[in-house]
Amino acid sequence: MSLNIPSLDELVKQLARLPGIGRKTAQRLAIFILKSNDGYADELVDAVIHVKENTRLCKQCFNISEHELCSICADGRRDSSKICVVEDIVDVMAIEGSREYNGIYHILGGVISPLAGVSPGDLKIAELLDRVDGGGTKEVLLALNMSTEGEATMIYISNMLKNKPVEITRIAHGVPMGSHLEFVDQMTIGRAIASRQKI
Amino acid sequence: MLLKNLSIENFRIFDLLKLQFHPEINIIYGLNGQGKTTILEAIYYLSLTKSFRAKNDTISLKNESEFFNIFGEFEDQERREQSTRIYFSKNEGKHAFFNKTKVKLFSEIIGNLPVILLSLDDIELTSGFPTSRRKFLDVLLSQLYPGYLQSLQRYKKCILQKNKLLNSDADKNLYENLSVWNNQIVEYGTLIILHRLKFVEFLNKNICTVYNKISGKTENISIKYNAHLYSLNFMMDKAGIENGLKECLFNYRDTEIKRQTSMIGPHRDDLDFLKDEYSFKTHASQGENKSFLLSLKILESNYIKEISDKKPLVLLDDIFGELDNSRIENLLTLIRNQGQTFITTTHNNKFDQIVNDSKSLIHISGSGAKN
Repeated sequence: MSLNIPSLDELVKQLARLPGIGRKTAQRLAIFILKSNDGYADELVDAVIHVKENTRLCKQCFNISEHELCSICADGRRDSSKICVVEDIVDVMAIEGSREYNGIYHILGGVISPLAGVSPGDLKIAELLDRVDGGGTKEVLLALNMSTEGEATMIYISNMLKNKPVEITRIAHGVPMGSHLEFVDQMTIGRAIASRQKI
Repeated sequence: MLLKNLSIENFRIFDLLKLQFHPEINIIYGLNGQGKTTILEAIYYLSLTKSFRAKNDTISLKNESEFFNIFGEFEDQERREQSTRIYFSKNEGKHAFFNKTKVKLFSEIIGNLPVILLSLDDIELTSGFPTSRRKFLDVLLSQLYPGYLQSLQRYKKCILQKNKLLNSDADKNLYENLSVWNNQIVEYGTLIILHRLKFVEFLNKNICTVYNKISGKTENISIKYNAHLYSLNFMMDKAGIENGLKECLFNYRDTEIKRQTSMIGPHRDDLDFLKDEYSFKTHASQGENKSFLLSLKILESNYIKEISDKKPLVLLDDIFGELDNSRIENLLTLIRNQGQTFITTTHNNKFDQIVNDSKSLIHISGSGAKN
């Protein structure tokens, strides 16, 4: 329901553009902002403007950064001979959350999809090849989503890297932790069996 | 499989309809336009999560209704009670529930309640376009092998992407860009072809026996899997098919670029139905066509039994129209052993004399039904 208050409607409209926010949630958020005092609205606006003004993409891996190099690329303790290739920044967050990976990243900014009008030239693939050509890289780990588009992108990148002196690996596809085999779909099981490991 | 009851809500012309079914033969009768086929359609939804006659779910929604709901309880091959529910609304989309738990992927429930359908449209199988024959293979094999359905879905996605690529302004690295899709087309395509070949082999082993039983003649019937542009035979293993596809995709890449469409792969393959090396399409009579279709359906259900150990539900949509009582009786004796049978007809009296104690008559009129 619209109350026919243009400024409120506009805020709802803008909030509803956010991913995961439907119209109802947008309305609740808008009302909350409207009713809040203590300068919350100003703080929110400042934070939004600040993040846009002060962040840019890391010139090496295209992660979000407040400096020329992001905190991961700039961290001398990390193993810069390993590059993990991901689709998007949220994937970096997911992998970092596991604290299992000690290398650095390369963020493509998408996957190949002719239907969505995304060709390899639209992704940061040339930049990845430049990084590898620059030397110092021993392993490129492809960690893209298992969609047909993700697969296509992995195939494309591995073709491009084929003749370069680096090891190309991809994350395993298999059974999720904590799940029961009987509930896992057949293709996943098939692939998990095909890429089984010696113990 | 034994469908015990069905309840449908806001589906086609029905507000709410609840039916109990007989374990053997259910004759659903009533005048034209009263919703007989709708009941078969609802059963088909429970099995395959979609309609056999409507392209999208909105068509099946009752006028001005927000949602439709189809719920059925059945007994599986080990006599365990199971239930499936399909819910659709314009806002929330379609959701499927198995034993009251929502499933993430429809492929999880497809195959739980296998079904075979014989309707007047099936004449398309012999006389129509290759699409209908591929659909026949895909619907059956998707019910039997969840992996087939997943491969098919991913395969179709790759074909869409590849076609879009071929259609767009030529990219300077077109070969490289094509190869990322061709690579996957080979992987999923091979799985699809392998399953199809196995079924065709089964058909060839049994089709003559079944056909000759139905037609009362001795004919030499065979079915050929017609691989479009690439070479294929039954002796091939996975690697052989993969190589054949790969080679053909490589050889035809310029032609594909010129024609701007994907020409090679199981989405272009076909089945040839042959009587003494001649095509059924051009050389068989109406009656022979019907006998052949029926043989195919019986073998379809035998294959389901052989692979999954389940007896499918048999849906016969208005196919007894022109047949006399003795032909109907013959047909029914053949079909009824295949599984629980659902027949729609306008003339229930045709069945009066037949299979007396093993059937139930369900009269459908507009918005209601009674046993």
